[in-house]
Amino acid sequence: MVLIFMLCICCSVQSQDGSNGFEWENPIRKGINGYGMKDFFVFEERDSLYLVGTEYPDPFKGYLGPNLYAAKEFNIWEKVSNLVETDRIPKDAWYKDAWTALELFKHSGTYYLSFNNRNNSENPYQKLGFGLAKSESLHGPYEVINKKTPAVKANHGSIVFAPDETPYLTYDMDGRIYLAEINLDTGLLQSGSVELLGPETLKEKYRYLDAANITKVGETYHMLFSQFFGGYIVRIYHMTANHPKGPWQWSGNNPLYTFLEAEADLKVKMVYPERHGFAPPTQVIFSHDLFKGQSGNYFMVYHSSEKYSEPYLVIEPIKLEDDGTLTLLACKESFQKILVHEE
Amino acid sequence: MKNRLLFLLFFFVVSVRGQLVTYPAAPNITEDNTFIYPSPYYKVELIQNDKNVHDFVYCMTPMHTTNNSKSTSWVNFSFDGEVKVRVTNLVKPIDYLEVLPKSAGIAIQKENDSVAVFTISKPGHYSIEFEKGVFVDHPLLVFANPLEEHIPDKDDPNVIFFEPGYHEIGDLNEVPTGKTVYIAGGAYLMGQFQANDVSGVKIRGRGILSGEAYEARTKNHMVTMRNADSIEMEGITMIHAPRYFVALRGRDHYLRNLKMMGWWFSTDGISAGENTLIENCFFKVNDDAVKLYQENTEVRNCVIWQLENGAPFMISWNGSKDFGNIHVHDIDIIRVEHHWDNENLAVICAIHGGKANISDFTIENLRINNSKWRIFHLVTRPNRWGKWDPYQGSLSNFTFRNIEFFGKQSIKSLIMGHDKYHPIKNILFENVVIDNKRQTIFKDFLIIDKTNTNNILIR
Repeated sequence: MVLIFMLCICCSVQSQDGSNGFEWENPIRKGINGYGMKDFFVFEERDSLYLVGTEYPDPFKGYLGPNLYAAKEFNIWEKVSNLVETDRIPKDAWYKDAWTALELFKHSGTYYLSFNNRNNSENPYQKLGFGLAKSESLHGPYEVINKKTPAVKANHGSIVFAPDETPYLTYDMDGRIYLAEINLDTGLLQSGSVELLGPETLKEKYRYLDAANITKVGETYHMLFSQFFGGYIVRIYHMTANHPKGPWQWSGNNPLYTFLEAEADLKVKMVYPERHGFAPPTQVIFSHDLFKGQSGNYFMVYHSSEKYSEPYLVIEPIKLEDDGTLTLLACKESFQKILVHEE
Repeated sequence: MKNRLLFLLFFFVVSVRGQLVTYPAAPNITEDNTFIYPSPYYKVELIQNDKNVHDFVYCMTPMHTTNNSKSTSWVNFSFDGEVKVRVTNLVKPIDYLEVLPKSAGIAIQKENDSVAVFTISKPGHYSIEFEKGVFVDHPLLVFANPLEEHIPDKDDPNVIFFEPGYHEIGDLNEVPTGKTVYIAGGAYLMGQFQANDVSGVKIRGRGILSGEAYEARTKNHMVTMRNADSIEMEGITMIHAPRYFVALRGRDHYLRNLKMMGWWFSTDGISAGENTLIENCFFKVNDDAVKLYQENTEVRNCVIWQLENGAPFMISWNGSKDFGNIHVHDIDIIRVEHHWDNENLAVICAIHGGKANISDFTIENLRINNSKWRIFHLVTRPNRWGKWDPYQGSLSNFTFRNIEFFGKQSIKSLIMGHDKYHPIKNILFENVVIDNKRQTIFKDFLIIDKTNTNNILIR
């Protein structure tokens, strides 16, 4: 695997053999929403990294997103734009209030923002729907495409392209992962949905499934997802395929890692209008994704524990083998470092 | 036997007009014990027939980072007749006084800036309120038990007798069929009990069972019994549970006058088997107080202080076998510290993610005090604890009658079915009173998702 040098890494390090590298400390808070972010998605363009995600509302000012954050290095992010002009959204629009699990991608010269959303006016607890918005600029503003109706009522939708560039939507619903072809012009499904992962496919390995994200690296598709086990144990898994439709195969090193509730950070970082103002969610969602950094290396991005305190950005280096095996190089460690060898 | 008689005589104050029994604190309860120590906040005298007894005031510091109170003090005695309770507040001048539950109708008087007095004429579990509101710093609880009847003989081979004092019993105590575990007042047991495939087991007394040495979600429930029939528990106080206080499976369970105080997100109160009666119990817990998970369950005359997490009555997360015929009545919920918009935070709650068809519930005569959160949250929805069946799982035939909420819901209650295969139907609300106003219009207090609900009525 070819590793190239890094530019613009302020926390750069140099090893004794002369190779360069960089360091960072997880979880990363600087520059992102202080009240918490999760379901992170990182998009790389022109040597810069861009970040979107589900943002917690400011308890004093309300929801202030959806925002685009940018960084030249992992440690320091800054808000560079507001992606959607939310004050112009009609009161009865289905996509008014939630803005969760955002993702960015570029296709045929157009930037797309995918999201999950709902209108809270009548029932703030109803199911989320999947939507697409587009813009000529990465920074937005993005205009919602499927204004009339969501593509599907589901959680954590994510777009992936087949080898022939056909776009597919993966989403989770009822603890199962589904896939359907989607039309980028209408933002609506182009085909019926099929169960990608669930009781039928996983058999005795099936547990409640969350937040599948698929990343194409070379010719291989890598899917990360989480499963919840009784006693509050969450395990993160990895599967590979040559097409988003599968067949999906378990790769080596499964589960990638395990999270126990006892590991949750108890310290709330921000100030709230009332004591214990941060609301520990009953059902924590563990979204994991892969992205290619400026160095050409791949990294796993996820959020730190949100069980008792605000979730923030976590980036960890990974090693991808030619056979598709994914290895976490310093799983759950705060201080991270990679060395980048020049060829 | 001679020592025991002397002990009983020493702690009894007997007269023809009533009896009063107090219990000594175990020797481990000292000022340097971080789990339980003499209360620095309150002093309590009990007065009956012109005789004064200082009752030991226990104090515990809540353990979890999100717990709101800074301490919980409590006293524990048994009596009949009438007893006058004289409370000295050792740390602040008295500027507010109330005895909860309101339904007890106990008047409390301020004797001076630091002393309050009231009279109890029937056994119960009372909160002496020196602070107003949902969140209070230093509560005081009074556990006024009925006199014990038929105290077992410690020499009886069918009795496992714990005398007053400190006992480290460990977490793997098996209780055989037919045995009675007697925990005398003044006994402090550090450990847990369990049993499998048993019947006729009793755990009773006026002593304390603590799980203080076990971290949250480690070890077992404080009392765990599987395939256990005809189980009785009575009178003891359980504290610092790492998981549930009582988890019984089997049938014919009778649980009465249990006092439970715990702090973790996993410290549930009671989950018992089919054909169970739960009565006169007290809960101050940080997960579901009572699990209404089994056929033929009756819960009555209980007092509940719900901490920030969990529901006083949880109907289902993952019910997989049809059940019903549940009757909950005459319940005083004296405080609900909910303030997060989480799905499991309501007085009566179901997040039903299993395939059971759950039906025939009557929940009536509930009085809810010191709460600002929702009363009802009834949904069918897949969740991480349930085994979701795409085609089965419902809630039906529920009656909520005479529900009185002293305050305002700051978020509305909710009824929402997940899809057409998981409906919620035939729900009757009758005489729901919120902030002194009888509810007649759903939208004033309840969100109903009409898509997958049917026949929701109010009158």
